[in-house]
Amino acid sequence: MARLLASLLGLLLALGTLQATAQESRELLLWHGYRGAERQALESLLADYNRLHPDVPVRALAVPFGSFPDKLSAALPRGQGPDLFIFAHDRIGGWSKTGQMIAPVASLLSPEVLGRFPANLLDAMTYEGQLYGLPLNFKSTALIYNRALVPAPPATVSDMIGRARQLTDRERGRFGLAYSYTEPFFHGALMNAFGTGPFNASGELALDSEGNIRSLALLEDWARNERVLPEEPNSTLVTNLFNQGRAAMVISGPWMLGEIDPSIDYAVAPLPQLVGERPLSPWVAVEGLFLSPWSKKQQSAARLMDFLTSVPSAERMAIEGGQLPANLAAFDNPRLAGDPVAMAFRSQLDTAVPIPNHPAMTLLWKPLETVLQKVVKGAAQPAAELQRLQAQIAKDVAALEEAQRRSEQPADWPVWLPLMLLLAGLAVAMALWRHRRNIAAGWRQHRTAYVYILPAALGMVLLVFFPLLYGLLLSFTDTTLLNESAPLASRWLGLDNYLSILGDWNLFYGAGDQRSINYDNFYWTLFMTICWTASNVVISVGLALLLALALNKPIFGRTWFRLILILPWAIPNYITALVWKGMFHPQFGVINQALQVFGFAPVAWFDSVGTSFFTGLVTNVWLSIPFMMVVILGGLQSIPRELYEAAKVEGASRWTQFRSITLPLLRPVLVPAVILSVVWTFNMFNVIYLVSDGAPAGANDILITKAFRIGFEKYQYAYAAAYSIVVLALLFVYALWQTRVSGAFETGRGAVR
Amino acid sequence: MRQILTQNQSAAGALESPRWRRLKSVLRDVFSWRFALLVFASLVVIYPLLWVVSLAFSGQQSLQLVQDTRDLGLWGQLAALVPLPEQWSLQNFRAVLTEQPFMRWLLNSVVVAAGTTVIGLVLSCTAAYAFSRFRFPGRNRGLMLFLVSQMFPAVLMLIPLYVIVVQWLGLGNSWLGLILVYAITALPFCVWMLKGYFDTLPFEIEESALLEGASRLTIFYRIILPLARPAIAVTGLFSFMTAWNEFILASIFMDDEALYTVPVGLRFFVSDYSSEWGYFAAGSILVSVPVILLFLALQRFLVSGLSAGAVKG
Repeated sequence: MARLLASLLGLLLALGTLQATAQESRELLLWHGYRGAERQALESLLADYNRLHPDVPVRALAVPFGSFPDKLSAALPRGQGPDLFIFAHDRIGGWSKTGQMIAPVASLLSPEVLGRFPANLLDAMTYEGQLYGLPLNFKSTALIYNRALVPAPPATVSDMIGRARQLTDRERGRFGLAYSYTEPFFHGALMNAFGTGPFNASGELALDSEGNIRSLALLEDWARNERVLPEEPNSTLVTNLFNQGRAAMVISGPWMLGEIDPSIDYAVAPLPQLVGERPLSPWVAVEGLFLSPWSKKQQSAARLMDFLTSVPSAERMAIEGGQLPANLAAFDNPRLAGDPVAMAFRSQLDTAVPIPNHPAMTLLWKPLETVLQKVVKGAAQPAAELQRLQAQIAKDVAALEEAQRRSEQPADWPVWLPLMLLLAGLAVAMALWRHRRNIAAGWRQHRTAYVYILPAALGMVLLVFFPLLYGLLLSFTDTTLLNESAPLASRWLGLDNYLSILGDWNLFYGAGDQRSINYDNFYWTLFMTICWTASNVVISVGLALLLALALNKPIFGRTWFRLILILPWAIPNYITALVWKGMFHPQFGVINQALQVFGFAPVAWFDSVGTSFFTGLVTNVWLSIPFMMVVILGGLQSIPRELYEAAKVEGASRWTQFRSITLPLLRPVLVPAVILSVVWTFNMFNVIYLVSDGAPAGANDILITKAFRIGFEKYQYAYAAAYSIVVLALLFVYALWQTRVSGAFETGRGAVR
Repeated sequence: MRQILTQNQSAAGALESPRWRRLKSVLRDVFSWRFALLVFASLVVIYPLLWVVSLAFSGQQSLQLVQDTRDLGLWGQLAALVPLPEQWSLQNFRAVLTEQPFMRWLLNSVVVAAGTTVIGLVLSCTAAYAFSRFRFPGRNRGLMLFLVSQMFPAVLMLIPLYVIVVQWLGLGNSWLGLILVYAITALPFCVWMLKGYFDTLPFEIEESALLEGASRLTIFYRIILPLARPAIAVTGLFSFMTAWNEFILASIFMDDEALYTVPVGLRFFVSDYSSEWGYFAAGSILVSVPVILLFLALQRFLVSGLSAGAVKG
């Protein structure tokens, strides 16, 4: 055993050194998130570049969208990662504040290169006067319409809605206008038409401004009075409706064009004019080329930036990759100038507004989406809801700024802290020294057992308990996205995070008739988490036990049943969870369709706490039964069949057999499975996030999704860590209780004592 | 069941052909409650998967909506609830397999998942044996610590894991780093599950083997492990699945597309603006094939009666 351990460690070290020596290279590393035609166009450009400049070749790495931000924020602050990367511009504000993600580029580039881009796209890449990266491509929405239903694009918003009203037939599932109107990115077009968006002209947060309230009122009018919009939209649904001719006009971007059914005769036009105001002005996302502050090849990186934004490159990216290049001179190319679709998006850019790159913008997406959902469902008034949102976001921003201000001041460790640590260390050392004989004797006496456990324990210490310690340490600070790189001492906060989580007794907000449960409250979330865990585990263990018992004895078609019943475990749950979400769609979901066939009223699944909870419960039970069933099937194999035969001879009923043979003998396997499934369900992130996403308004969030939102939607890392430690403590108490009650610590029969 | 069969035999006598007998037992199976339950459960399992399958074979990227069925009769309306593509096409599968090095990624995943399974099983079998068979100071606390490791949300482990694996161990961009992390992640379940199963194995055989002078290690290899095959199959499958579907760590650790695992490859089809769900569904089906094959190979250990003859309880 010891030899095995030693060789394993040796292997590890050997591989480690091998890796380290291979690090240094002369290549320029570029990360991007493109795929399909966009990716091919980029790669063929890079191949040309490598032929021209063989001295410092470029190596590109495609990263899936879902992990790109995480990969960047894991690598860059630690001096790892690419020299250049391509990403949307809206995180520049936060990134520039950290000082470790992106570097200013203006000094590296000639005025000729900087002169290639229109002012609004360069503005998008600029934060606090510094230019961080070059715009490469842009993506904005525009109006895409079905020419068979809408012969000419509407010039004004009232034209558009009038036309949409004529074409809407809700009974038949036909809509005049469809777009993801609850997503802030799409609603930006309305906000920008009425006012200046989430921030006022001087860059301060102004969500409850006159313009924003009017934009919400207009959307509410379209959804609730005109009723020209489908319910609970998402991009897939919008594409789908358009392809079936059931949506006459959609607001979407160039990304949709490839998915439009060839039989649909469509055209693209800029969004219409709002009478007495400006035109609807969509937000534009700029895909920029960013430079890592750690890059040692800044000159080569600048040369590549120059190459990729030049006119020939821009033309090829547009023609081969279907992109909208930020170097607008490319649109003079006859092939683009003759393409009405490309030119429509090009002219939309004149009124489009870059997404604000203010750090607070990233805090806004999800809360604003919740507000939009509430308003279109009539659950909130635009003005009151925006005022509430303004107060909430202002508080979050203030917390981030306060943390940053604190971390900018040099701080020393509180005197007692190192002293305490020193004392604790001394105490441990003394205890070890005093009991050294006992410890040595214990080791000698139980050496076999310890040697058996050692490899697993080492792995756990390194890869589990160290990260846990990191999380614990983090939870005592006020670390956010912005002050991550500050020294630990100046981020130290003590127990404040815990006090603010556990002392959050604002169970309700509003008063009188307006009083409603505060779903952001910790104790509400805890209550929901306990309901969620208990119902899931009871139902899925019960059903899995039933199915395992049904499968344990021979029956016709057993192999097939067993195979079918494990399928939900085998298929990636990302897609099956989304299929369940689709099945629960209030307007187009198959469950409501079936209810209607049988004469029941359709249910708005995601509008109330109970039904929304139900959607998550069904999905999770469906997903977790196969695993439970396999575990129980494995456990059933340890029960000797002779026992049943003996029971049968004595005339015991099936129920008695189950009670007195199956359950007790299954217990050693069932107890750990139940404990672990409680722990996993308590922390089941995916299902909640993908299916109900906490709807309505965060009421169905469980502690883990809440921690995620605090950490990754509000960027308060430390607060999220404290949340997680609280989760851990709760589960630990549960596990202590459960193991004591169920006797899980018992050894096998006749163990060495 | 056997008892019923023998009754049957005696009642019908030698006149019945074996074929007739088999048919009768099949019929009895089919009309049992157990069968009805299994059929119902299978339908519930299959229906959502049918959406995935029909999306994968539709050749399109988004699923057809249920058509307007107001004019159809009840059966027409019910038939419209069954998701079937308008026309069958292998286009999505072809695109998934040719557009990206999908088979290569699948192979990478097999290597990583197999490595995880092997390392996970070696570590957990030994540890679980000690927890089941020995009583030593720190035993309960040790078991508890294995549990605690599962209680901390994985999303917050990303950065520290990156620091340890990539910066300290230098195992970034290598499968070994991934395998170690996955094996350790799967460890707590494996240890608890195997410990529970080892507990059910009688100690008498080991005792007599000890008396005959066999070493602990021999007993472990020769007696305990063969008897625990059902539990090893379950934990092996679990370790495999832990590695098989993980996406975030795999894409953060790897800096070379040729080393990506298949869940990373699948996620390329999902992005903020538009997602190619048809490709994703086709890829998902391809990804589940090795899992199904593995389950088929392992399921003979989950068939009743395997251990019954080996040990008397």
